[in-house]
Amino acid sequence: MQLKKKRIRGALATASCTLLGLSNAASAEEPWQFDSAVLFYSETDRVQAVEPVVTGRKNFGDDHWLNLKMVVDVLTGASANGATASGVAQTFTRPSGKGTYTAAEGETPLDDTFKDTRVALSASWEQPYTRLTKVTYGANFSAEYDFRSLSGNVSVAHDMNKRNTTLSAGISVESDQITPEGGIPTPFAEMVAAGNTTPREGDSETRSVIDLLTGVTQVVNRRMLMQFNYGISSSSGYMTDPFKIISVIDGTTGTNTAGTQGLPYQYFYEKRPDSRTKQSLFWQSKYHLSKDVVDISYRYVWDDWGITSHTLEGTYRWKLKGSHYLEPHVRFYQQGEADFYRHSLVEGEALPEYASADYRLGEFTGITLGLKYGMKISGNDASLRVEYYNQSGDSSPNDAIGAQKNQDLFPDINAMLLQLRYTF
Amino acid sequence: MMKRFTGYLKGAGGFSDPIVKFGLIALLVLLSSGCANMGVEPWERDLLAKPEMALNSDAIQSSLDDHIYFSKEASSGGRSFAGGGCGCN
Repeated sequence: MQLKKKRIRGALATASCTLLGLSNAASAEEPWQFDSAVLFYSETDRVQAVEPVVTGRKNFGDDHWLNLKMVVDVLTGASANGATASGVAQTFTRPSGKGTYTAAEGETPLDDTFKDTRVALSASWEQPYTRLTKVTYGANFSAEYDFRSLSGNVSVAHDMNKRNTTLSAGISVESDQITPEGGIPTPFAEMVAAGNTTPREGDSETRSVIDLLTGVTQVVNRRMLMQFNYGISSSSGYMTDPFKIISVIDGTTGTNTAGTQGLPYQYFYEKRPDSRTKQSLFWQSKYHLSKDVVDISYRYVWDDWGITSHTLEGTYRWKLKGSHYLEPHVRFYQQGEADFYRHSLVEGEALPEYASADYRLGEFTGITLGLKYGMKISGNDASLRVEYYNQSGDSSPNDAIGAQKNQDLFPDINAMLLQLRYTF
Repeated sequence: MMKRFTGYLKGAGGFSDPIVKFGLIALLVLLSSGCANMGVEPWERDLLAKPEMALNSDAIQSSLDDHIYFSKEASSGGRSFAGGGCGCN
């Protein structure tokens, strides 16, 4: 077992070094520390995902650390297309324009062709700048079928007050490219019947993001420490979801408007602003009781799309016999809707400047309940985590018209996740 | 883009935002007065040195959670960079 473990560690170390063009001689003194996990994520009737992760960390001497990470994310299942449930069966054209899918009467329309594999690689290098200052340089690359992202970041952390206070600041710059199946649909263009040509803006779009994050970490006493962060993130470029549409309904009856492009009913592609500035305040505190550890955090996020959110999260690490522990987890998330969020558009009304029926931009509450069981196996950390996530919004909003009042305009999302972790 | 940053901070919703103002004042107060009196001596770090007392004691779990919530909710970041993330559904 031990020999096998060493072999695996050796092989991973060699692979990591080869990847970075480093010679093995440089990495002879201290062994690599690996952390790995696999996540199984499953939503009722929607997305299923399997996500293995491996990270490696090595000290090259004098606190010069190299960190590497690889994530693979395999997604399948169905995703809400933005159209609302209706009293009639609905037919939609697939993003490729080559086929159709349907939603039965009273059913939330889900595009069931959702399938993607993402591979993400990250590397970072930490080194002391002065005795009390540390600098970290990082780079991330992520690719999937219709999306590519490249980012770089630099962070500085400075210790003060006998290392009881740490000030930190960092900047990250990211460049994304979106190349969706079927190209970029023209915003507010009507969805056309399969085989016809959808009005397009081109094959791909780009987006850039700059993030600034600054914070202070403070040791309060022998048992307690806390962190306070402020972050600002500015994105510009294509922020619209090319797969999301909005139902057009009759202003009196609330029924679907007849389509003019070959489909039975009318749906428009969504349109979002091409810039977004998001800010966040984050506070976290950890407290060591006699044996157990309490972790509480709160985050407030607001942006210029009109979205605000509160996230309150807590874990309690309950120490059991030996190295065993049990860790319950609770997370509460509440989000207000974007200014341009609309569950549907009304026939004959002037189009708004922007509109999206993406539930993720709506008002909702998310609750997570989880439990983790962990222990040491041959000196390595092992844990199993199970969590349940529920997202619920206003199913019968006040602005629902006529027949819409009989439909669930914000269906719940329920998801389960299972995660296994092992360090070696 | 940096212009937009500075413009945003100068304009409404930036430093004039009561929440930002509160946050920055709280940060300054904490830094200037509180921190000097808080803390421990190096030999009192027995509990703080435990891996489970690290602020991000399970980095893989945090990153997996960030990815899940990023694809289901409109907020991201706070603990770490918000990023643009994936085009996930």
